[in-house]
Amino acid sequence: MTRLATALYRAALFILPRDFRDRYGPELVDCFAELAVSARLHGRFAVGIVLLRSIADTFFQAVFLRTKRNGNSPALRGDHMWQDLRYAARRLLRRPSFTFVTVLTLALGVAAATSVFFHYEGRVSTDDAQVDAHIAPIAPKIAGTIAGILVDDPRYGRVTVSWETFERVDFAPAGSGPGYGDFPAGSDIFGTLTTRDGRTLRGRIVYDLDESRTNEALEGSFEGVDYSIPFRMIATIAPSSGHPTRVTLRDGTELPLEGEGDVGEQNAGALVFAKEGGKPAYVAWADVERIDLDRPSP
Amino acid sequence: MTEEKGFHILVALAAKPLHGYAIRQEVEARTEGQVRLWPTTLYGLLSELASGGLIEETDFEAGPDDDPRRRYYVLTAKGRRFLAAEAARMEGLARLARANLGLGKARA
Repeated sequence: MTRLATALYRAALFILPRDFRDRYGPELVDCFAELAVSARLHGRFAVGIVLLRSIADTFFQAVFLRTKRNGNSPALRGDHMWQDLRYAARRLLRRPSFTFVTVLTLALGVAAATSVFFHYEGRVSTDDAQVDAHIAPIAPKIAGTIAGILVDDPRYGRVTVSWETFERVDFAPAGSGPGYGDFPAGSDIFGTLTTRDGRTLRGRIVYDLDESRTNEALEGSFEGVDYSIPFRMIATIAPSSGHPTRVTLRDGTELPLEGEGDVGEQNAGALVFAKEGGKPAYVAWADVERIDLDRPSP
Repeated sequence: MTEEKGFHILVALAAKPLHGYAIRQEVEARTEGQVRLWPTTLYGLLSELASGGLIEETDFEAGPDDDPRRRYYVLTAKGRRFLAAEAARMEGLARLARANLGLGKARA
């Protein structure tokens, strides 16, 4: 969720002047990512709000930076917000192409965020029969076509099947799919991390620097199917340089998962808190030999 | 509003060098959530303050666990003088306002 929000925010940065974007782009993305991770603690809706406010902020700053008057330092100028907004509006009317691009970017950002967040939250309230079977079409509102299907499977967690891989689906009667009892509330992730140089670190684990609860999911792909597996279902994660990461589930199933984020090079590493409240040990993804996760308490 | 936010950034940096997200947290904590700096506003202001010579990037490293990609910002000597002058100006204005409202201490 936070990755998706960060990707949408990164896309919104394209309305900023290029020199500003080149200079501060990575920091802006990092800063937003930290905001999104904090907001995630309050739920997906909070992430959506942070995303929309940050995109709106980017829009106003884009207008401001592009219409900035020479010789004035906005940071130290007087409290001229309304004058600035009126001035910006006049400039926007004089530059219809820029206005069109910024409004379009904002609209797409809002539409994508709305669709995605309603998709997740809507699962519990919609009367759509497909959702009763815990199967939902992916983002048909954005592209106008179905990109694939989502299946909540008690064995693997959430599985995304792309339209190309998808062959057929048989709908079960409403209510026969997994219930809320199959998706318990999360607890902190505990386990043992073994480094490539043989050290073992035991304690509370924050995976990829943003996943700390057993009901959060590890994401990866295998043979055209995208998996989103809650950490409570995972027994072992064993990265392998240049090869898929071997993920072993609690029922013994092994999945060689590929992807850039949770199971690939862009994984930000892990924190291990040996003692609660103490300073964590940080282990980079490249230094992780394997992570054995404790079975969550029932 | 813009000026106020810029001032808050200078106040936050007066104590120690901070990276962007830490500046945001510091300002939010100091103002008890009254002032929130969204990322693009924050970096827009940092850019302006740096152009004005009031802050600059520094090689400060917080510790081995810190993200090495982070850029830290620090107040320059000019920034310190500016902040002190602004604080004095605001103090003077506040004193004047209190006196005119009859809120000041009674003179002996």
